Amino acid sequence: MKHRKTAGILSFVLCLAMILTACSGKNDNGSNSSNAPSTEPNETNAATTEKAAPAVDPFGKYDPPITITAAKIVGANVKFKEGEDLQNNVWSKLYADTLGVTVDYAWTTPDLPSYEQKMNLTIASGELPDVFTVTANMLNQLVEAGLVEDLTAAIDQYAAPITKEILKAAGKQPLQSATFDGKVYGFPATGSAADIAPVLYVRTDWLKKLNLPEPKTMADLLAISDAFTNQDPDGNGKKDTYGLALTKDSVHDTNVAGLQGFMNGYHAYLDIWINDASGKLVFGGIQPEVKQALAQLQQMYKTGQIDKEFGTKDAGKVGEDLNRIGMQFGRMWNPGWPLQGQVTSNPGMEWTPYPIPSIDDKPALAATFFPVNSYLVVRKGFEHPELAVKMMNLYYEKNFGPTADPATYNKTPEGVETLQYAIMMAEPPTKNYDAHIKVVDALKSGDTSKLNAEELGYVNEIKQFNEGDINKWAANKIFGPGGSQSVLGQYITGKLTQPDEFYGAPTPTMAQRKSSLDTLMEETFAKIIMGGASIDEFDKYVENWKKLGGDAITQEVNDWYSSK
Amino acid sequence: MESIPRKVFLGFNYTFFILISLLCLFPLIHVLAVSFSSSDAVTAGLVKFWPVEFTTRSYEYMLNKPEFFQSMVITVQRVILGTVFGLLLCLTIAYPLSKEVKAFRLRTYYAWFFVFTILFNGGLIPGYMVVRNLGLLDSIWALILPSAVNVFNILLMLNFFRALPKELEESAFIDGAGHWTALWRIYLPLSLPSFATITLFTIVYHWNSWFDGLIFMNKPENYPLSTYLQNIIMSGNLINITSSQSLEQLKDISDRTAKAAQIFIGTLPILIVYPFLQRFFIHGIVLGSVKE
Repeated sequence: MKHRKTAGILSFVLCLAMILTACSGKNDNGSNSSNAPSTEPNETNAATTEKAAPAVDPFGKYDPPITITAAKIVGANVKFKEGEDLQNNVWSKLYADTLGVTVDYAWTTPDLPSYEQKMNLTIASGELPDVFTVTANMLNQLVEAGLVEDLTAAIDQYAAPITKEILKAAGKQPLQSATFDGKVYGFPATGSAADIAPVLYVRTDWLKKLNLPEPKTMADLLAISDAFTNQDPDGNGKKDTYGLALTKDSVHDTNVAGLQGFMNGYHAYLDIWINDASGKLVFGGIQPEVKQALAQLQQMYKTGQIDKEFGTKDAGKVGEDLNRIGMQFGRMWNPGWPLQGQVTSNPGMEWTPYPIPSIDDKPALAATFFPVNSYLVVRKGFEHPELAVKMMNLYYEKNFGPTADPATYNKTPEGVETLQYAIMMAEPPTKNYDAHIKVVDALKSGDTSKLNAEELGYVNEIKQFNEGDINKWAANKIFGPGGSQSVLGQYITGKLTQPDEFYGAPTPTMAQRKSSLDTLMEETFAKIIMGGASIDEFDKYVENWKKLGGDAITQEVNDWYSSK
Repeated sequence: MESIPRKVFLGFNYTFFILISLLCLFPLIHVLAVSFSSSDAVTAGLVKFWPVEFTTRSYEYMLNKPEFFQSMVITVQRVILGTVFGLLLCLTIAYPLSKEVKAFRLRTYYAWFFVFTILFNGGLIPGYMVVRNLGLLDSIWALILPSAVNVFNILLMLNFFRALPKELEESAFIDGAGHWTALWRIYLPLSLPSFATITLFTIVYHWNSWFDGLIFMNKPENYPLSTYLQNIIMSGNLINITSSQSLEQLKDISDRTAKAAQIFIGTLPILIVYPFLQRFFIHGIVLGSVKE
């Protein structure tokens, strides 16, 4: 008996000992990981600046070749050719042959939430990859923790002509958004702001049937919405149609059936920061214009022009309902989804994109978000910070530069998107609009020699559509004459956009409070639209918004604005 | 003959439970219908519980997707290894803990030690560090070992053991059995219902959990099935669309049919396992073994 007791105690103590060692082991590693990056950089930093001076070739090859670790998001929809994978494809060969770099992906994840999670784990374990992509938020954290390398000199010295050109066309904001204390820490993935702007889609077959004019003003739009609801546009004798589509996420999600476009018609701008009369930045979502638009929406909901159940439907569900709804504010790609499916299944259905109509004689400005949502960064202490710039040089060069070969490096004739294999994707700010112009020209002249593979693909699809293939309707509605890109063209040429004036990393209060402020906004707006609260609830919301952190955020945003 | 109130009650009872089972069944039927419908019909919202424009295209597409089967193999491995390990540990921990303090002096301390882990855990990052430092990243053991000891299951098993008449064990000891024999020959056969329940819990747990796959597997080719499915469904999420994505990817978003097919195939094995294990829930009766 006694023997058994000692054995019991012994094994219990053993258990405890195991736990303790496990804990202390963890601690060791923890301190290692936080020390390691902070001790190295100084010497290596100095070394690189010395080394960088003599040989400056934007596409220079490393000799002997080097192997780097990397991390990026690889969506589940990325397809590879037979026998190829992420480590073995046209881009990995290009990196190896031109730069002498073997890219070894330490890890990849399929979407942003999991990427952020994995990145946090990697930061905690102290094993950052050499080169990787991050969001603005992650960049901010990494810079504050001193874990990423300064790229200022590398971008200055190593940017190829095409890279410089695209960065210049993108304006100074992208680089500025990656600048902290005068140093650039990330290479911004340039993109198109206009492509994010809201576009109004209208059922033009219903318009014709009811003999209504095209929506030129907000008054037109409201009249159309009323007619679509009450004059039985689908001719089935039932009152089962709606004027305007909204989703349960409409307030912040502008992809399909968003609220932003409607608001813009009233010169109200949700979710972005705009200049007020005194030159200060103010939050668009609390301005009095929003109240006016909300009152109108409340009216429309009461009179049955908006689906009574929109508050329970997501974008996918509303996409399915678009055979009964006559108008929606969405993005330029909406013809591809969800409209294409509707058009294929409902013969005679036709949607046409229009610019946002205005409530008064001032033209409406389409709200756009800051288009850069990822940055290429280099781990602090990595010996070749210029590699990030060289890789982006190659990317721009092979897609848009003088020696571009998009059929190999962007999208193959078989439709495999090889550009997804590159370390980071980016594009010149007006890529899609330029494609639209060239496509329309080529359709007119019949001369397709100036087109790249992507543009040629659009031309061919539009030709097939003109020959009666309804499945190619989307290509025509996006890139063809009168397509959504031509609407964006009107925004671009007429300077009819209202960009987000704040493009820094999220401020401290934003990081803490933004999501609850967003929810407050969402809930108040939904309540007002659905008539659950009077329109004066808006004033209370503005007060609450300011109290719950809005004022602090405004202060921080304006500090950022004046410091830039 | 049953009385009228009883009949009314039964009538309501049956209707109620049939309605509830239909509620559970309809989503599955809908997914099945979607998987056999054409993509356009699905986007247009025409598909309810019967395929529209019947096609097996999405299943053909799946057959050409090696990733799906690759992850299926990993999941099957994981389920088998994870269940065997989990049950073995569960039994061997629950048995001693089910004894009284008289027979096992430190029982209370051990019991608290295990219960403690229900209340507190190291958290995500320490958990990740432990797995990483043990060199288990990208290995199947990262999916099995961290969740091998499930204290909830142990408590379940432990209480079942305790509910068994002590006389059975005593008679076995008199006949010269040791603890191992008692566990394997007396306790386990008599605990089949709870054992089957735990088996099912463990299988379902391993089949469904996706988060550890995401965290512990660096390469997507090592993902178990549920992580893989989670990915393809999330990547069709609108939130992930940025301006630089092209028409090609939009087609994937509308590819709900292919997703539905993969979801359906993914749930199929567990649907098949269920009825087989359910059999044991009814059996395993101790009645009549002890006369007092």
